[in-house]
Amino acid sequence: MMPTRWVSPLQFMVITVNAMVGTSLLVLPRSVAETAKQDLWLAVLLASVLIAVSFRIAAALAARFPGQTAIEYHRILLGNFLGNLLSIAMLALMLAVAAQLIRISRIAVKIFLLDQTPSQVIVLAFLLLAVYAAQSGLGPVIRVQQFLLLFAHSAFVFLVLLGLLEIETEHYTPLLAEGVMPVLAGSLECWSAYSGPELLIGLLYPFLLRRGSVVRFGLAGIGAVTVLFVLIAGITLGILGPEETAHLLIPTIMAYRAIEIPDTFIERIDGYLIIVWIAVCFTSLVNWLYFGGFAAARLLRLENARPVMVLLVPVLAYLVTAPPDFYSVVIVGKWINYAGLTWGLGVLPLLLALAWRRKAG
Amino acid sequence: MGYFDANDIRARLQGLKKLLAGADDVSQDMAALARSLRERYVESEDYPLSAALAENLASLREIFSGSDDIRFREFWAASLQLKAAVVFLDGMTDEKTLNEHIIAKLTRPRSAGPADSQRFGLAETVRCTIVTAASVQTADRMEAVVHRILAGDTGLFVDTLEAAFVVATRKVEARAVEEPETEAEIRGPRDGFTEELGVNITLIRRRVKNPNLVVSKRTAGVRSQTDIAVVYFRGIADFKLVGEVEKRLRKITIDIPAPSGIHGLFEDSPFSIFPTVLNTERPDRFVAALAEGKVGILIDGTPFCCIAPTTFADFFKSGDDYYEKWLPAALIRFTRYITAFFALTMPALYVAITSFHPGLLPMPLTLTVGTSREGVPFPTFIEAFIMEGLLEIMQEAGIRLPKLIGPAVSIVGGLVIGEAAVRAGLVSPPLVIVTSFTAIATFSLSSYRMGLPLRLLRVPLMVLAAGLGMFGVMWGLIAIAIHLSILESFGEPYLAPLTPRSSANLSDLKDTVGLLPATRMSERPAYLEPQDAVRLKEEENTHDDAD
Repeated sequence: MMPTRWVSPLQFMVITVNAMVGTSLLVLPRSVAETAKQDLWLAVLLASVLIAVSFRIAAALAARFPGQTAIEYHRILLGNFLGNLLSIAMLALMLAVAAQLIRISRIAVKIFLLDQTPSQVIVLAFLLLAVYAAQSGLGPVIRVQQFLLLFAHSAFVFLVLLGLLEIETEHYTPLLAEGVMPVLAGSLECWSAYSGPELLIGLLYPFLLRRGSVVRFGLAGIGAVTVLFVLIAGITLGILGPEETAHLLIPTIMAYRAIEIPDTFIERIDGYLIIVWIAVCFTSLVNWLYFGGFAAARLLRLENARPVMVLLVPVLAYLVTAPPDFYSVVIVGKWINYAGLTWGLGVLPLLLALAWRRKAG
Repeated sequence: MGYFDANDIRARLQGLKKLLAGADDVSQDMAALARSLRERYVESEDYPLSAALAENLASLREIFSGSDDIRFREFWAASLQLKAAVVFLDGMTDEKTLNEHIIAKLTRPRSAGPADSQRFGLAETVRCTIVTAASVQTADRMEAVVHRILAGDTGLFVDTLEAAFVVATRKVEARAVEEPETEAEIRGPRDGFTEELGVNITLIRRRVKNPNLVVSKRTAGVRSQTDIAVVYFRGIADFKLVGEVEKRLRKITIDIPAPSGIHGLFEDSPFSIFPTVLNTERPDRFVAALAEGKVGILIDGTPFCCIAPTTFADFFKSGDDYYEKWLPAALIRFTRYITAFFALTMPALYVAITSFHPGLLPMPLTLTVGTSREGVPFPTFIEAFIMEGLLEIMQEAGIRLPKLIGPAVSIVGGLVIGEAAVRAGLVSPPLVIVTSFTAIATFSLSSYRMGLPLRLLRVPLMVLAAGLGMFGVMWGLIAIAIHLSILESFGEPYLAPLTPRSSANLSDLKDTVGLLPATRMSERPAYLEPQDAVRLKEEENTHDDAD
């Protein structure tokens, strides 16, 4: 299906922000704290530079094929078979990200809100919402994100900022005690938190308006998300300290559980945070489902992506339940991270080089 | 051999196609015939007038047969030396005009003699030199004449003329221009639309003295011929939008539309519970919408006009916002959004928190709510559901009751159901507070039509809250958000200014959730794509600053 509407740079920025801000809000500090310890906020900051570079490469690549999506120019660059294989890999990566998103939200909702409800209900509820939005086309998908960004995300940021009340500065010291290497390693760990814009621009580029400013808006989106991630990672670290952050299941929420201003509603901020976060998580999921379905439809050379999006629901529901326990979810998360890293800093530059050579030759 | 076969088949197929096409024509003709038979009483008068006065009067008598309020008055027009007749509706015609400017003038012999009629021809003589009413038009088809007579004008028939004169004599009893009761404002103007289209157009014209304010009239309703006026600013309103509105109005094929509900015939998404056309009784609000680049639709027979396109945010605006200082106005408008949120979710939040997550409240509050719920026989959801039902019944009773016995509802509702239900231990006091807060929150919305979907959605949200707690409430809210983002109104997204299309449209946010001083809102809403985007010219702006 061709999205009938042209996407403005601003809308692209919204998509970028929402695709990035997903479950990483909850688990980002843990995976990074394992390696970067008290410098985890630095690692998160550094990772944004990596994603910006990768996004820039993806944008340059997409600009070489202004009328085609990634699925088509993979075929052009690598031939039908290899190109399709690469596209399938990309689709698999996107679906894995979506499944991981639902799985972690299932865990979070089950722990903090609905401890007795069967977890399948939560998964189906999420998928139903996402498919309802994705079915209606790109216009509504973008609008619902913008609408929620205005209300839910702003409430979320407000709640996040409340965390500043409770941080203890000694958790940030000593700065760079073990040199720069742990920070670098840590920044690679949080790739999947930022992953999104470098995949989506390849699919969206033909439908973008005013392409000259798209990179600027995309980078602005990355910048906004970086601020949010650094805040969250820094606050979690500041409240819990590096050891606890590394060992807790979902450190962000646990950190906010500690915040308390007696005799106000700010006694139970973790509960509110997770409730608002449901909306934030939904905006991310709807992007992955919509563009996953879109990519799959392009891959199969189908005009209409709607049935594909519906068919993705059982696939995702299966993928969500595939890892048996939380430990394996963490392992899968690591694999997704490495896959995303390979794509963003390995495959994309390679493709760009191919495109260059093709033009030169 | 096969070649000939193929040719043969092709020829047969073509023959078959021709047959099918012919059958199609026949069936269309039959359908047209059946339609014309069925609509015998609808368009039977569409034929040219006859030269013989008696014949015309006979057909008019037939058309109006059975109605006693139609008047035929035949007389000898001495000024023309011909027979003439006037036909008019009793009670809708200004008899003074009729007497003094038509009958009196025609029956008086003229000193000028027949010279005029030789110079101008008969029709022009009557129109230009004899009848002295302000508006005299000629019509040569019966349908047009009948339509105008039904609107209160007078049909003047002169023997030997193959046309009739339609003299504007409409005079109907209209309600006085009063303050609209359903859209109260503190500092807004006190006039409101009435049921009379002409009066409503005057109310608008008198505010804007500009020839580019276009009022184009049409009728809707095959039988009722309800007058509709499309009003917009030429040079501001997007012509695509104007075209879309006119196209949709042309498509109305219902025979007798209800004027107050006519928007249901042309609005988008008829199955959605959210209104996508704004109705207002206030001329100032109407003109403000036109000035933004929207198109207004006035309908004869209702004081509620329609404004297209309408977005979600429009229902949270009030004229008062623009008449007060910007900061209080902005805060009040923001409060409306918060209020709407609580009107929608308050009972659901109560159900979710008490039955799933008592931990979300501070400890002392949880204890208070818990102890006051002691002894209540129902689970929270049933309790809240009953109260919600009672609230709806009381609201409806309050609207339907005659004003004189209205206070009885408040006594019974307030004392008996609130106080007594708590004392009897059937309902817990916190829930009574929640329900009354919800009711008041609904009342405080500036639009009744936006209150309805919120009232309706409370119940599903309560069900979700009872099933899935806060996750369910959030799920429901996101589903509503998706639904709102799917909706469109006349090609514009329903969430338009809240979800800016591009960075150029970001300035629309200045007048949505909040508000800026009038001098800082110099652009029209960009999502409407107005032809002239600037509302406050730059020179005047700087001049103001210099002062």
